[in-house]
Amino acid sequence: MSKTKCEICDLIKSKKGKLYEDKKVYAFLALKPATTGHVIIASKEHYPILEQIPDFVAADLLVKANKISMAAFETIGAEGTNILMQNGVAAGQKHNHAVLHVIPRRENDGLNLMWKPKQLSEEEMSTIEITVKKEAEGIGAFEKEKEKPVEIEKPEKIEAGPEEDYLLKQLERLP
Amino acid sequence: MDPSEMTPEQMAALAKQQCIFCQIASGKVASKKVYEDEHVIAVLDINPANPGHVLLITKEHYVVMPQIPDDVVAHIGMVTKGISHALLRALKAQGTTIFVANGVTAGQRAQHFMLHIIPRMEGDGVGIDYPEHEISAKDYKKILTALRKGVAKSLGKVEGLEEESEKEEEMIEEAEEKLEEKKEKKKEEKAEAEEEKEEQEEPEEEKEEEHIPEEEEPSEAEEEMTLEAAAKGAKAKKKKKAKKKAKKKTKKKVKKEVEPEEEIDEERQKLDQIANLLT
Repeated sequence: MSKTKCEICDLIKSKKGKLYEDKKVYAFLALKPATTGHVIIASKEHYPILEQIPDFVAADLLVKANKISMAAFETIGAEGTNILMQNGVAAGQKHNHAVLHVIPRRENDGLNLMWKPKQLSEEEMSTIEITVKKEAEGIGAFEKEKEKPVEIEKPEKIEAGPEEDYLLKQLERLP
Repeated sequence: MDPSEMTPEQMAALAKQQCIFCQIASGKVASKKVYEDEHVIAVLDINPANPGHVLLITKEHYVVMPQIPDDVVAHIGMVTKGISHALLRALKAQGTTIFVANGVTAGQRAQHFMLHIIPRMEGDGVGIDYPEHEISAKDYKKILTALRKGVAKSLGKVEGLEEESEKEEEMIEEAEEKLEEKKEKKKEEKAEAEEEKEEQEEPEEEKEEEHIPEEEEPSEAEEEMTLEAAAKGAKAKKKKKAKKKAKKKTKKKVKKEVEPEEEIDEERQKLDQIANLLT
């Protein structure tokens, strides 16, 4: 969880390869790309896995990934795009910071992201359906972005005024 | 009816009729449904990469993700997070792979947008990983400038990008120049080293002469004045810093107090365990 050792946070600070930036998300061209034009989109705040990202930031990450995927179609000759998130070490996540990948695809680019399907019995499928459905019931009350910061900033500015005056008076009193 | 005679609306209607995922979304075809709301439906994949493989599909018929309106994409993002979390809890999964394929080249098979959420366990052999290739600074720069134009179109201009690209160009040029300079310097240094050995005594005397006038420059009265001013400035700065620190501390305290309830804390601990594996 240490923020200091995060490669992605360091990259965001360095602004290297920056493609897009706003208050919540940051996108850059991957330094070691899977294919030509591989883009990585990250939250500016440090969150190791998807489940820790606030809902409104997760939403924004996917919206921005979609827009960058459009840009890949239009400007660098992508014939298809993959949007990929490796969430957790078991899924192959490489950095201690949750990121979305936009990987432009071209015919015969040598990349294989497909999987071998497994066969499950009807019974197994039904048990999974019931357990997952139960846990998914809570989805819906999505966290919205708070608009509080404006209110917090105002008192700070008012405090700053008298503080400076106080310091000035102190200086005037000195012989 | 001959497809060539159809209006675009009729074509769309036909595509929808023939689309198996539209029929799943509307409930005409049976499926193992785990979640549903006004925009999306989540079902279990009948050919799963891993047990619990979920397909998140839009109720509206979209073939690829770029066709979907932003508000629906945002909604998909939030539901994806929710389902991923549900899979971690329900199946004790150690992670999830989230995957979208836009276009046949990217591995898309159905004519309907879908987002895969695949529960993962350590060493499950599912794969879905990408290689990391090296890229030259020139190629990197070329793609970056091309993509930036596209991103400026689809996302709007980002302030400071032009300046930064100029900076980057300068940095690349500088790095190249430095390399050349280093090579030249090494040659020069070797030549100079020999010369310096002979002239060692002379430059030392010169240096001493240079240092003396610098120390004499400010008169005593001036020195006192500057020292006083510096001391005052330092005091003022210290006070300001101390106050800022105090403010930050109180802010942090307020945040901690707001954090709710033990149940959520337990949830967080579980998530932290998964997250900690990354460090």
